[in-house]
Amino acid sequence: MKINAVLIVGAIFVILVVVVFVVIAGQTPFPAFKYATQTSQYVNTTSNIGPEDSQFMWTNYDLTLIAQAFVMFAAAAAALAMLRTDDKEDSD
Amino acid sequence: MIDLTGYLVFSFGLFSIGLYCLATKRNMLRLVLGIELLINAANINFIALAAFAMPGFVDPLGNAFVCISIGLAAAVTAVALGVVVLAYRHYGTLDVTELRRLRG
Amino acid sequence: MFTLPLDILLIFTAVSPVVGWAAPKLYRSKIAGAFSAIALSATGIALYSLYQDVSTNGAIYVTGNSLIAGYLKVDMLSIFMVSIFLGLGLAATIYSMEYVENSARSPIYYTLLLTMISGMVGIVFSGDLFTLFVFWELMSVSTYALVAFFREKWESVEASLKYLILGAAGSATALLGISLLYGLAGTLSFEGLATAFTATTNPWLYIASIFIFVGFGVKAAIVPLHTWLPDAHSSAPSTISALLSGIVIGTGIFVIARAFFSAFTSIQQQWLPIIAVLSFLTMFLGNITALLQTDLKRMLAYSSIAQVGYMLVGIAVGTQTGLTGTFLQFFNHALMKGAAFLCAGAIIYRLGARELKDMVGVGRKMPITVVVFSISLLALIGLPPFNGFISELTLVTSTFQTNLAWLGFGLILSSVISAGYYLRIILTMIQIPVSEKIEKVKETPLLMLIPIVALAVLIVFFGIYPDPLVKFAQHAVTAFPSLGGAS
Repeated sequence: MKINAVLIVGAIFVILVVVVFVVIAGQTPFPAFKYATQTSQYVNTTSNIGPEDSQFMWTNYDLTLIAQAFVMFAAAAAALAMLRTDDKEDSD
Repeated sequence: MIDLTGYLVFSFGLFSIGLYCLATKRNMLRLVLGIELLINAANINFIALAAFAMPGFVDPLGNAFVCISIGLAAAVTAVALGVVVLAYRHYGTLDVTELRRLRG
Repeated sequence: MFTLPLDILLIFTAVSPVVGWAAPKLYRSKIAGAFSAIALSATGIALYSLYQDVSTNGAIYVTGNSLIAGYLKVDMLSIFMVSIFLGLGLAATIYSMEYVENSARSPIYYTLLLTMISGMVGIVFSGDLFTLFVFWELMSVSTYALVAFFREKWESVEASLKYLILGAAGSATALLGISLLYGLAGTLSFEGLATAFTATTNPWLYIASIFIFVGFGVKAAIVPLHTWLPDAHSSAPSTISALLSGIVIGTGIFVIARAFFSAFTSIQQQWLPIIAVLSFLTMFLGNITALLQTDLKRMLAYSSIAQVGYMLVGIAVGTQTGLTGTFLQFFNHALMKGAAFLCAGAIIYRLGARELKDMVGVGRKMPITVVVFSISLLALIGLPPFNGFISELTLVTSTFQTNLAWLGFGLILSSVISAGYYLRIILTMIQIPVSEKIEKVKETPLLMLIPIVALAVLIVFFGIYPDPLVKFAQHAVTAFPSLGGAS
């Protein structure tokens, strides 16, 4: 790959962001779940989380899964609208 | 094991690499890959935070969000590639700098 | 399932490709259009019964099987927003029955249109950020395809690519902000976030708020993030321009208001001045750049950016009056800008030209269209007998009640500047025509004329008799429980 000015500036930018972030995260460590008010109600063990995770998702968030199915439907309709060609198409 | 801060640094670093890719690359397909990088950085953030809920436990809400977010990223990528195909048919090139005809 | 209006809309959306495929080829686009209009009307009827329910019983929650999973929360604000979504969607559908009639892909156009409206209804019905994000993506994916619908024009495809890159990057940034909020609070529902952060000012909360504001602000076209809007709104089909400018921008403002007044209320004193400065910049950049344009639809697109600045004034004030003004301005702007884009589309459809200087004197040949266009443009300036005046007055009053009076003066000055180009459009159209291309222009077809006239009647009606609308908006804003300030 070509070493040009953009590549150097971009690499410096990324490294700078990471360094600044390490400094910030070192000063104030992330208070993970410090403000959570409902713990140990739905938290799984680390033994075999696959079936329990999916059971959580299907009992509590099944409507969100149906909504995701509609997003797939919309993506299929969008791809149809953009790429399908017919012989009898009129340009507009 | 690796501390939570390490995972956060990783996901923010991945996010900034994705931003760099969107800002500087000229190939349209690389821009689509940049968007994928941004979404996956957020997904990694979710999984990492879900693993540190309580020691020895995993919060399933984060994992559920990531399952759905991967599907959404796939849908957005499909539509993005469709638009890239249309743009290639018009301009004959995959270079974004050729597409500056709309100005003002 | 979901609540009844969203159910009906989603079922009709899923059935609409089948209707489009099974219809006889001669009437295919008209049948698909009629089916979409029936879908939106049925949803409107279901919405009315839901409105009765919510106004007597308070907010409705549709939850999963446990206390913490709240996916849908229907309150007065949701019903307020859905009423304008369905109204403008119905007008655009009836207009489209004539506008996209020649295209052989019109059934899929109506499917995408219904999908976009269902996504928007889902956004305002959602009770936590998880469901909101899924419906946000549903809306966004259909708009990316709809902007590129007239795919033989190079400008539509280029605008759609630019919009897609910026919009998807914005969604990913918002997702990162949502993940930080999840890490801090352990829950994503709006009530859970409000109770988790009641009095804390952690630095990570600032970082999460910046990401969420930038992510959702891309779709709402707030100033540094607005560069996709002029291209996308001027190159899309006119019905899609009307819907994008009218209601899709408003969902960005709605999500910012919801997130910032429930999760980030503890750090409110820091971000209110920043939003005030951004709203000032947005108003002035939108209006001043619109003065320099010569293409009609591009001028209207820049004025949409300015109107988003007006809506942000209400959020920057942060009181009940301010948010009433924001949502009133959103409702009125949807009516006014929707009518303006539909009229501009009708003129371009008959004339074939898009520059303003080619439209000199078109008012003599298309009188009804240009009268409605003038009504909507005068309402956009904010003149008294039209509905734009009421919402701008509410916004200016709310800024004088707090110490943001400079923002109120900025809004008034910005409206005066915007009169510069709105009046220029009206004056161009009512002169005596000079070119013979204008002489051959006929009036707009009937199916395109009916929704335009209906929107104009609503603009004048809500300007003369704004009381029910203002009461509806005030009732809607009580959904934000933590605001100060009397109305």
